[in-house]
Amino acid sequence: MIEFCGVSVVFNSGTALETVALRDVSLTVRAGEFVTVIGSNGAGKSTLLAALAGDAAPAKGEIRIDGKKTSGKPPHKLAAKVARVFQDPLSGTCADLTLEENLALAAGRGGKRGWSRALSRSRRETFRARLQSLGLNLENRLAEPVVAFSGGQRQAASLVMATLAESRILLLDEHTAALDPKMAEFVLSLTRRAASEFNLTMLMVTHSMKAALSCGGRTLMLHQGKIILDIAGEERAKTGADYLLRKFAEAGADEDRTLLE
Amino acid sequence: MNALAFFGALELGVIYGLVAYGVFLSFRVLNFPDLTVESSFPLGGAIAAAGIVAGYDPYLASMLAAAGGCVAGLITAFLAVKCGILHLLASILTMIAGFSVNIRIMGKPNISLLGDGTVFTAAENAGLNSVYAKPLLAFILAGALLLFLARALASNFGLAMRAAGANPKMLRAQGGDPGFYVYCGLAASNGLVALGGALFAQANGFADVTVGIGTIIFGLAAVILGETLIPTRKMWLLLFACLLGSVLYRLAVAFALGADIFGMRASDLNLVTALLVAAALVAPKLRRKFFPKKKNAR
Repeated sequence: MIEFCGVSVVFNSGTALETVALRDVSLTVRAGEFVTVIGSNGAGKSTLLAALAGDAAPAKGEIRIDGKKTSGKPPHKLAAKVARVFQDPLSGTCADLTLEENLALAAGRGGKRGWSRALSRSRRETFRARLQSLGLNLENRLAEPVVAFSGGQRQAASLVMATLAESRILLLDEHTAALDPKMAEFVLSLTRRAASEFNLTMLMVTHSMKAALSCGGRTLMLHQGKIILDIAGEERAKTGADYLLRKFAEAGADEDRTLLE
Repeated sequence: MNALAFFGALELGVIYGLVAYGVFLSFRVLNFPDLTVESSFPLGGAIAAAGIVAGYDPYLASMLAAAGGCVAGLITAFLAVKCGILHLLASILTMIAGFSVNIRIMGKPNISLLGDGTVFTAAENAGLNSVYAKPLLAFILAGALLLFLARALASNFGLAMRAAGANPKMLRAQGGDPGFYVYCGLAASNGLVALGGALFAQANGFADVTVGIGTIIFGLAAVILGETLIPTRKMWLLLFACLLGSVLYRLAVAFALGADIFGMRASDLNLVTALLVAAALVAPKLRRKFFPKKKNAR
């Protein structure tokens, strides 16, 4: 379970560039819930995820995972609980390391990194099996450096990496935004599959209304650092992209309409 | 080039191979341009020489020298990671401070080891000619270190260290603290360089506070030369390339100095090395400019 209790995040505090990215946000996400997050540029979507992952420390309020306070901890200390896939395919992988080395790094997420060999036979077999299910022929390219792969292949691999080691929470920050429409749809389908397969609590930021409503069971809309819409269940099932766009217009985020498909 | 000059260059090349390992760790693995080596190399010599003169066992003195290098690396890492000083500047601070520390350790700018026992003495007493014994012993040590380092870099720990240099953001998301690996990497790097300095002092019979000038460039020259000769992604081969690069570089220098046709003096070494490294760093860019590959992943 994830709890935000009156969380505010401020960047460049006390300078002329001061921006309030989250304003007094309170939110509870049940274990196993798959929540999609939408909002215009600068609404605070990414900050919501960054705060949860430890990248942005709240100026006010508290974040708890499974009842334990996590705000204020650095990201590497939260990685055992929180797995992430970034928007930029370059961020989530080490370009110069091979695919299997990247996977090995991810397999050790949150654990002690000791003297034993990073690439064992049993690990390679696990990697192969997991990559095979993608259907991208990546299982035969384990020894190639990731720099040789396309953005879509990298994001697909990143999703595998995020689910290799056990975790409670998976954060997806516009992980399909840098991909072409076909590849984006494919990675989304992988995401849905991961959600059902691994019983994770998931937060997915997206720019696509369609994806926001077709993935998961709950949708949040952020505007200027506040949650202005929180729909789930039947109410959400009845909601169309038009309604979301109208909501955006009401909030005064109309100028971003083009960004929102 | 006569046999004496050849084995002398070989010995120097293998000893500086340790420096090349260290520079490989900081520059290539951690992506941390570390000038600390300029003072950790003479530091190694200073500690070993001061120790030997004070009556310590040469092996113990050499190990203390390596430990001293580790401390120098840790100081640079502290300045960069904890204090947030730019990595290059942090290492220059340690380098400058090291100059004073080295003179303190020796009590004077240089110490002569002539007549004192060194790590090479045992082999010499066993009847080996010191001309061969020195490069041979250095080579055995360099080989053992190569195996150790290659295994370390293939471990989960080593892989995380490589990620710390390649993509710290990714490592953090995978639960690793890049700062921790900078501490470990710089300690190991400067430990290796200081051990090289300790061997250098014992092989040459003196420790001098000025021998550190250019250490970073000699190391880098070896790393780059090795990479050019053996293009590979395998860690053990990359380390071997460092060693090979260092030896070939020293042989080339010995040849150039020995052949009168170039009209070179020993004092031209730093100039030539700097030119060589600059050329090697520019070469890939020029190659891309004039011979662009059709399909380039980057």
